[in-house]
Amino acid sequence: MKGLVFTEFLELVDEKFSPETCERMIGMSVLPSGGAYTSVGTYDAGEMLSLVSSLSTVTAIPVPDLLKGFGRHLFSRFVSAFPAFFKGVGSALEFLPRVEDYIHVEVKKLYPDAELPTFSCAVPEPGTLVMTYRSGTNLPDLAEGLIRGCIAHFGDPVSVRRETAPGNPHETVFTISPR
Amino acid sequence: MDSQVEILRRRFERERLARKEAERIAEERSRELFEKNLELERLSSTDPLTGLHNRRHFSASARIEFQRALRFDLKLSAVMMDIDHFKRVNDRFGHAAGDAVLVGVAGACIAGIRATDLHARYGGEEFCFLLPETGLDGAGILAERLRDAVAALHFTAGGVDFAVTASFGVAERLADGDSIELLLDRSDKALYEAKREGRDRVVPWKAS
Repeated sequence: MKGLVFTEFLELVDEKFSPETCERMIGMSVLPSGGAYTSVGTYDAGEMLSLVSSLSTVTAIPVPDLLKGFGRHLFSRFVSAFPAFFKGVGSALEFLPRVEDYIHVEVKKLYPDAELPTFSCAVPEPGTLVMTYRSGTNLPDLAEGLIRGCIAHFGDPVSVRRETAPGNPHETVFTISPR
Repeated sequence: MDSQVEILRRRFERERLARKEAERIAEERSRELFEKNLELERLSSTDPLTGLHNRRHFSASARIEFQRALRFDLKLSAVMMDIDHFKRVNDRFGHAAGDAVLVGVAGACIAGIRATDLHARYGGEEFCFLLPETGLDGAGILAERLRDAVAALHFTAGGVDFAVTASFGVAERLADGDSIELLLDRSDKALYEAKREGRDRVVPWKAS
C-alpha cells in the first residue's frame, strides 16, 4: 500500500481525534515500519489494518465506519493532489470507470510496484454502474468510502448498494443507480 | 506537559526515519532514471540491427571530431563503405539473409576499427567510419584490412554457402577550406570510383 495512504490516515486521525489518540493508536499497533511513513514509500497493508483496528479500540468506533470515513476523506485529498485526473470529468458515473482503465494505468507508470485493487465496471442500463471490487488486501469498506466520496464530490443523484459477490468473499459488488 | 513532550519526541523520531527512507527512495529512483537515460541514449544513437551508430549520432560526433582536428591541425580521414551487390543477396536469399550479412559485415568492421574511430550505418548497406589522427595512407591500410575481413566472412542461406565483398572510398581532411560535409562527400566520390572500377577494392580520393 502506498505511503500516501498512511500519511493521509495519520493526518486525519490527528485532525478528527487528537495527536494523543494518534500516538495511542500507533503505540498499540503492530508496525514493522515503526509508523515512520513517507508518501513515496510502500508499506504492508497489514499495517493499515492494525492501525484502524487500534483506532477502533481507542475510539470505540467500529472498524468499517472508520474505513468508510477515511475513504471519503482520501477521495477529497486525491481531488486536490491529482487535479489532472478530474479534468473534463463531470460526474461520478463518468469518473469511476476511469479508475481502472486510466488512473491505475497512470499510477502503475509512476509506481510499478504498487499493488492496486481492481474495479471492473459494467453498465447494465443507462445511468447505472456496477463496479466489482477485488483486492489482495480486501478493504471493501475503504472502497465504499472512496466511492461515496466520489459521489459527494460530483453531487450525482445516485445511491450505492453493496453486496459480497456470491461464492467469493474477496469480491464486493457496488451498484450505483439513480435515487 | 510531559505527555506533550513525549508525543513531540516520538513524532520527531518518526519524521527523521521517514525522511531517511524518502531520501533512500529518491536516491534509488535517481539511479534508476540515470540508468534508463543511458539506455535510451544508447538506443537512440544505435542502429538496432547492426549495433553500429546511426547516421544522426555519427553526424553530431563527426562534426565535433572535425572541429577538434581543425583546431589542433590533426589528421582526419573518412572511409565510406558499401557492400557489393547487396540487392542480389536480398533478391536471391531473402531479407533475413540480407540482415545476417549486414550484421556479419558490421561485426567484422567493428572488430577491425580502433576504439577511437567513429562508425555508422550510413544508409541501407552503406557504412561510414571516421578515423581521428589518421592520414590517407593509414586510412587506406585500415580499409584494406576491413575489405579482407568482409571477404573472409561466410554466410549460409537456403542450404547455399556464399560470401560478399565490399567497396571502400577513402579521403582525408584537407588543410584549407574543408568541412566534414566535404570530407564525407569526397570519400563518397572515391567509393563511387571503387564501384566503377569493378568493386571489392579500396580507392583513395584524388583531386580530378
